[in-house]
Amino acid sequence: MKIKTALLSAVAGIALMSGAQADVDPSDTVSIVVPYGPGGGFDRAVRGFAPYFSEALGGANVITENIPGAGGQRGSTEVSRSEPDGLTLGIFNLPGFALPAILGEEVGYDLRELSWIGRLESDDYVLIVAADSDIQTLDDLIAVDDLIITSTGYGSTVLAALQITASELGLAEKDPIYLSGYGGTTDAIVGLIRGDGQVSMAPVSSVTPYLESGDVRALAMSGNQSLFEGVPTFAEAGYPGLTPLNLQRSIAGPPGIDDATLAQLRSAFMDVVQNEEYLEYARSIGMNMSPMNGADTAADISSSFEFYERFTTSLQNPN
Amino acid sequence: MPTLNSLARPTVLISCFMLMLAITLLYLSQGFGRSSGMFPRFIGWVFVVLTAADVVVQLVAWYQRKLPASTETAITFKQLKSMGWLLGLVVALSIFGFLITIPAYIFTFLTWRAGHDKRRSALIAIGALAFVWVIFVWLLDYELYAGLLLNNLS
Amino acid sequence: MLDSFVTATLYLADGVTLMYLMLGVLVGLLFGIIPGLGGATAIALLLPLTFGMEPEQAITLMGGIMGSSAIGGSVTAILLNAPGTAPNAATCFDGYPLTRQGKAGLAIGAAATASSLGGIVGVVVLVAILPMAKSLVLLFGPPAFFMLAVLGLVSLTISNNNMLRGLIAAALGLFIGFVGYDDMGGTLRFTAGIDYLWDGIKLVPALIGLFAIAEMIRLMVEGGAISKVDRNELGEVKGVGAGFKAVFKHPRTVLSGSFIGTLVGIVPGVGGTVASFLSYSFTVQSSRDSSQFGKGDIRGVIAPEAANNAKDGGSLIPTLAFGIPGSAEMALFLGVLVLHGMQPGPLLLIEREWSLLVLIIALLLATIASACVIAVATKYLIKITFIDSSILIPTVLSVALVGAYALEGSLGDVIMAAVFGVIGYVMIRLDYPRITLVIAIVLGGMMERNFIQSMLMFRSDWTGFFRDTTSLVIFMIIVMALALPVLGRIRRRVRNANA
Repeated sequence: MKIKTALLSAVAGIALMSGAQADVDPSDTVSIVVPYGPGGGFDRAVRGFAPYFSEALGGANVITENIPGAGGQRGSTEVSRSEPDGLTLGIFNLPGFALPAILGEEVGYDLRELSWIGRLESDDYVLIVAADSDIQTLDDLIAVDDLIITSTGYGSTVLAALQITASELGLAEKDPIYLSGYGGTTDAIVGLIRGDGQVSMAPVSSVTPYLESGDVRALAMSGNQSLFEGVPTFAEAGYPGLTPLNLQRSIAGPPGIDDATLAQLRSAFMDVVQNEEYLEYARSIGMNMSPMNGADTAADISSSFEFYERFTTSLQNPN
Repeated sequence: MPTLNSLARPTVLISCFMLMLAITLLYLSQGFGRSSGMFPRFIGWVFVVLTAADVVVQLVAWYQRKLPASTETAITFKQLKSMGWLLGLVVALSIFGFLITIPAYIFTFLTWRAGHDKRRSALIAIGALAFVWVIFVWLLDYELYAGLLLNNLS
Repeated sequence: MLDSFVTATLYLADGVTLMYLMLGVLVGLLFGIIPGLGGATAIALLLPLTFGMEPEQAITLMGGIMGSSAIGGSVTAILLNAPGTAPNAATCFDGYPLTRQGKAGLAIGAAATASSLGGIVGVVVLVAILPMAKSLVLLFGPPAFFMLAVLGLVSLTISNNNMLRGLIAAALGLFIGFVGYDDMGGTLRFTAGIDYLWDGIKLVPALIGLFAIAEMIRLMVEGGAISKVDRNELGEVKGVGAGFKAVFKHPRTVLSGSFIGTLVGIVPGVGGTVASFLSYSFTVQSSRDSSQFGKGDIRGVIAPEAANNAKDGGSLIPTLAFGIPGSAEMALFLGVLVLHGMQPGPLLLIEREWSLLVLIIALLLATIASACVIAVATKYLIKITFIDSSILIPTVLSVALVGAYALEGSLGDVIMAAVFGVIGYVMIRLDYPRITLVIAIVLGGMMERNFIQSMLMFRSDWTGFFRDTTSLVIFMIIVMALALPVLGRIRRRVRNANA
């Protein structure tokens, strides 16, 4: 009996996953575009969210669509150019998807124009050093003259966060070396542990396992409240300019969704993020939930944009 | 099977083409800044030197063994025709999509080029379509490309 | 450790869990056999299905896929010269010539056996070094990665008969690797304004073109069936058993292949393709009689296949201990782990020991099970090679292009596969080694990135490469790899002069 159930669920699963590849029937199917391949943080966030969103929309079919390519730009452009009928939505990362525009590249979307449904996650940034490093405090760091910073590549959020931090801490004048080009945030953390460089930065969710295992040490973190004992926020350490630095994952549709549809989507979104069952599930898969409603998200996007635009000159490619 | 030597002339042509390619790539690499350009420029120079050496080697070989031109062109023509069949498939795929092109292509290939009888060709064509459909569409639920034509109609 | 081992074994002995394992094995084999699809695609497609499962069930299912897709991929590599997955490309070089001699059964039998043995060695090594996993991963920094890429290129180039063309193929491969967005320099390179090329040239469509499609063009020009031996002359098709025995006649090849596979697997960011190619070229260089390689030497099948399955064990180390995957497949597996609340990181190895052992045993069982399935199916699969090529050509071309499309649902991949088909054919005709081109495409990006990172770290002082211990050790291996053939030649000359 159990075997039969297993096989049935396998078949059902295959049918389900196929949905991820296709638009079945546009009249009652909402697809949420993940601009990366399956398996990453964005994919996880959407796949966890979709069934609850479906429920909140009164049983509409909600599918996850992976459109990888061009560092997320292909999927995002596709969402932005789709029909504003509320049936195509996407997940966006901030500041990641704002950076190309801020850096003067031509992109097929404008985050400030999108119809924002709501924010799911928000991660603060932690400034880290290797556990055996001599650098104990921010002041120690500022005193270092020949600094090597490990980071992911140009256009990535980690590099941008590091450049902004360096600029606020006055490190930029010392012309630090940005050891960019690591394949991902974790690779950059491992590079730091190995001693390739002296300092790095990563979102809370990526860095927590390494802080817990004692391989890295935190110097300070962004946000209004510190999540780690003995680690000051940037504001507490005297650099309030760095408080807004964070990484967000929010859901949005193309510009011009009509008010009624947008209101319906926004209220369904709020139903999901107030559902205890969902919140518990989200935490179990390691999401850093920080829900925010659609209108506030839209306002927040604009102010974030201004924040990053202030640093345009600091954000040029170091290599 | 024709040996390498009988292909002297196409070989020289390809070698010259590779040299031109290497020079073009090296030229394009000059436009890249700092770290992006370092490796392409270095490899570009190596590439140019290597391909130039190859051209010299080929020219010497060609000069030493003068071969009748007729065999070469015959082979080249057959090769071009074969690549034409590949090109035809890609073009047909992009216009008509997979599920129409695959049986039509296999049928055409078998009857026209290979001279099989129509019944057998049709069976093979349908068999191949069935295989693709069962594996990709039915089991794996891929949405196979439907072609420019159908995409624009709907 | 022992407790966890018992718990894990009991868990896997459960009927439902075994069903998941077999489901994984069958899906893995199917995806492995079809060029273009592979373990990574299989995991991506089954990932949502694991939502409702226990974490260990999901792990078992994925273990089944990972343990079997590589073996499936060797079948098409041997029979049709069309590697089912990227790491199987090295198997083509001797597997396909064997098929043309009517010895496909021998090749497949050897591939399946070597894969199983490689898988077992890989898992044993994995269990043995799990406690020191962390320090092993930390040995490899940018300088060591750079040296490793150089080693890969050097060892392949010197094993070529036509050194000049080998070098040209390597240079071309490096340029192909440069195509796309370079996120270190923030530059788009060689994309000619085509959006598709933003992400660079993908390996799988390129491989489908270079091998499967190029082979079909060649058949179109030459005609005949793949197997040059008449079926009637061959009599009873045999060989799977002979292949099984052949593997045990070359224990050294199996062992060296398995260890190379495991070692390369441990190095984060270097995939199975490098492992199987390195193992192949090591075997060619270290063999006393290497004249038959590329023409149907069974060792040329054993070496890459042993490495190919051994690397799974090794590559779990960086994936689990640090969450840095060595391949697309591992990246997706990482996604499965996270989805089930297992955050990869230094603590995972300690906290979830028994879950990991479930995975390890599942991998082992999957390798053996899939080898058995293949051995049984070989009799029927071999018939493909006796089919008249005029039937095979349009069918294989169609299926190969569907495979290229299915990878990401992009028509660009189809066009890319066709372009590489023509390139591959020209390379066959004019004696440019495809093996070197492929490995240069794979290693080019890694070599460039890590060189620039190293120079940044060393502040442009290149002697740094010799101050980093791992990098120095690999450098010495490179020197040895270069010196060995030369020394061998000198020794032979001296011996001839004396005689």
